Amino acid sequence: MIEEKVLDNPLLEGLALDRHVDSLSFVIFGAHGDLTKRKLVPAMYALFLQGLLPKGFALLGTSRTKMSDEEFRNLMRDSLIKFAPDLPYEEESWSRFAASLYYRATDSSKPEGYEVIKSTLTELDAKHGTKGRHVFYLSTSPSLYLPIIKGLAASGLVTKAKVSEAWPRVVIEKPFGHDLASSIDLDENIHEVMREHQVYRIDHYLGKETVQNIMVFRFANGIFEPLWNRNHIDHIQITNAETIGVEGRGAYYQEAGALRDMVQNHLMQLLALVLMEPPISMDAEATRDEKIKVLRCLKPLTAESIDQHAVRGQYGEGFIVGSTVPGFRQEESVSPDAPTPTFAALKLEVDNWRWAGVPIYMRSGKRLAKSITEVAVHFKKAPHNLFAADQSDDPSERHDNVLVMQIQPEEGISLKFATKQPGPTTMVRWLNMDFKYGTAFGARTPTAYERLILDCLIGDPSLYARTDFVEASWKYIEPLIEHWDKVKPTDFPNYKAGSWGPKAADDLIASTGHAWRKL
Amino acid sequence: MSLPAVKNPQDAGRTMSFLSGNLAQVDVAKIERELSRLWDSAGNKEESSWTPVVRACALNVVLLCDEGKNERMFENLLAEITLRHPCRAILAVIAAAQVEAVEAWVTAHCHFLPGRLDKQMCCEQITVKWSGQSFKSEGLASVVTPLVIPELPSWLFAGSNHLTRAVVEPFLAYLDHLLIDSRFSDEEDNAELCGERLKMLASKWQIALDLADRAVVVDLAWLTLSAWRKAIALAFDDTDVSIKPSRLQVVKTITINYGGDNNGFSQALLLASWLTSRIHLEPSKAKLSQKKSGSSSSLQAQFVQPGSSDAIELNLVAVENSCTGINSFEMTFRDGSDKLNVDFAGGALKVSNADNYEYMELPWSSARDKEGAMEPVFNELVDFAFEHYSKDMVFLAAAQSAVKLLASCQC
Repeated sequence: MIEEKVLDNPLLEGLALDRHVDSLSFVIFGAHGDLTKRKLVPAMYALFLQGLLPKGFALLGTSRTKMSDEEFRNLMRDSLIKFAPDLPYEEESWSRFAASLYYRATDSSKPEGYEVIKSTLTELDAKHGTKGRHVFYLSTSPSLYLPIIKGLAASGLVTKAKVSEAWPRVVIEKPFGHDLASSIDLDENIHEVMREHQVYRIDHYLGKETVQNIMVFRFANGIFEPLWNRNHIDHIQITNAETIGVEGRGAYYQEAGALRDMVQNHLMQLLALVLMEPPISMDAEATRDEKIKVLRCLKPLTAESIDQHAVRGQYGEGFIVGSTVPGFRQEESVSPDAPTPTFAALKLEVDNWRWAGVPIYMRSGKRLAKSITEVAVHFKKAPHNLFAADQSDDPSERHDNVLVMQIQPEEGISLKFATKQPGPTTMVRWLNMDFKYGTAFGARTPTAYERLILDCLIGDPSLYARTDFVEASWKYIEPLIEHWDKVKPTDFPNYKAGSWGPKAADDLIASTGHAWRKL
Repeated sequence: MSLPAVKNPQDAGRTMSFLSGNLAQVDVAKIERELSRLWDSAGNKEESSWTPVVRACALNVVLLCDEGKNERMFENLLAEITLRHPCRAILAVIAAAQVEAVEAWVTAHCHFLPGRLDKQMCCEQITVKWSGQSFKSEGLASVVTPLVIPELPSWLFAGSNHLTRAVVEPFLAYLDHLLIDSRFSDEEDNAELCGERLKMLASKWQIALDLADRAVVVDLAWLTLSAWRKAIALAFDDTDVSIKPSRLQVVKTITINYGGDNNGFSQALLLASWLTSRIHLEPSKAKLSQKKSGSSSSLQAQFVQPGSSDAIELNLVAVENSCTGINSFEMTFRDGSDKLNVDFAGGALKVSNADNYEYMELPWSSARDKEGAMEPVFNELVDFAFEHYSKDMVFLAAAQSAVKLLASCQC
């Protein structure tokens, strides 16, 4: 028999096929939870409105709560109206979307639950033509990840797929483990029943437009990358400030703290995007390969160096937008002597050719004066200052060219530069050149979940955390967690709600001649 | 200390009118100055007559049209398109008049930002009207092109009756994208296709080819085909309706059913030309037949593949009383073992080969919502064009094939 010659498909040329979604069923565990109501279903509906969901599509929600399909649909509709006001809700389009929503009450700790899911998925395959392609989204407590994944595997719903095969997929929410050992343990258990390319570890920060724009900004503009190194950059500040407290998550937060909740995942991802080398392509693995290299170049923290590189804090009572708010230890479900840090500031050093000697400051805290997340790149000063009036010995008064990539609340980029104040004398005035996503493009900015879920449906893991990144991140943070667990704080609470964190954080950055940005 | 800028008390009323979308006549030589003054006034934070505004501009759009119906359609388009694409819009209007004159007006299109009522995003529109007896493109271009903001993508959209090299070229010295629509306008849709209409269709694609080295040319008719192209292409890829790409070497017949008279014909022809150009088919003969009862035309053509003596048959069949655009597509192969069908069904495209089938969602929300409409609306297409602008060699090859087929076409 003569083998038929394999030819390329000439019809594919010029077609944008990278965003094609195959028919599939999307299963949400924890479908009665807040995340499903606030983020997942609105994101799915937004994808539906944009025509990005396939014709063959079904969404199956499951949790312990008893509900009919109709009750689930109504609950999701009410949540959509409440939590996604930027989406155009129309009865007609919602009805068509809702026709693909189903619900089954199951107990994920019992095998029978998975049999119910399995038989329902078989029905949906036949009804919606979803062809046995399944995505399982674990919107549950992290303690349920392994039991659910094992349950799915035992029922045959999850199997190890060859690298060339894309299904089934499982999405898990952070935290990916509680520390290095539990993270490795989680991964080992996951990898027993499925391969890495089937696992999508979601970090919603990576779905934000501005976070994705960091790569475009750095590598599509020829003017910035030549300056993006130790020769031109003085230091970098990464700030994640929240005015909110623990918002009913006291028990979780008491165990997690600022390091686990924000630094180990979101801020490390931001750090990697800002510091990484250009990837060789936009292939998912190429970008993730470069990101992991950044973490591997971080100078490890040791018991001796920690106090010079890290500061912790916990908020006490204070004022937020004119209202008194309780201290962390007075929050619901929080122990009155909890040693949990609600604030962390770090000074990181990167031992590589590009960043040697450039301090990277990172701070993250709850109940701070303002909600803002940004990356600020401070450039070195002009070598000779002609304008004497522009000099100050106080670092907080000094001016640099600063490039700010603002992640939230308003996504955008600004560049601070000096200009001449109009008038008869040469007065230097520092101004911001501002770009805001919302105004520049007019269109509604898709939510992070929209982008990330779409990527998962397509099978593009670029914006998801890979196992080695998670592990490297834990490796860096672990000595700090251990040190802070061992040496209990004696001064907590050490910052007032509504302030910018403990004074020690100011001292930390001042020790290298810098000051936190006044935001 | 510098002195504060002097405020004119009449500015507020004029600015309010400008931000509300009313046209304000300005001196043609002072358009930029007047706009600048209006924006300065609009940015006055002490003024409480209007919601704070942000002037936004990410591209230039020049729309060339005749006074009257065309003009209103473009004004409506701008109102829609500025929602998603902040731009400087320049409406270049040609009017018939005894006395030659050039006049200008400015206005703004303001929209509240999504989810916010405290700020409006505004774009500016400049209307330049040339009146006279004998239109010279260079004259209008000399007013319009200096208004194009440098360093931003710039688009020219010329109405079908102005899509000639003589009219378009003076603008393309400053604009880098040309938007055309090879579909026929409403008035042209029912006219007999043989003769002038066929020549007009060929000339639109010929212009695209001629100007392709000067500007990125985007044809809205081509954009309507993207979902069909994708559906057909993926049938030959690793999907549920898998037909091996090698089968493209043994195609026997291609049949495209279309609705919407001449309008649908141009799309069907472009889709067929895309296929023939991708698999390198050369036309050997083509005949266009007009139905006596109406204006619908059908085309039968034969193609050959280089190195093969087998003829490939193309049929473009007009379907009476159906919605505009492609209705269905069928491809058969010489050994009869596969048959590819793509049909518009339930707001999506159903791609099938024997018992295997898959659905593909249409990207157009206007089409998805209705059983009876498979085409995107005009604004959606323009929106899509602005977001996906790049030189499309596949389109140019399809246009070339279409021109060649029309040249060999007998009526």
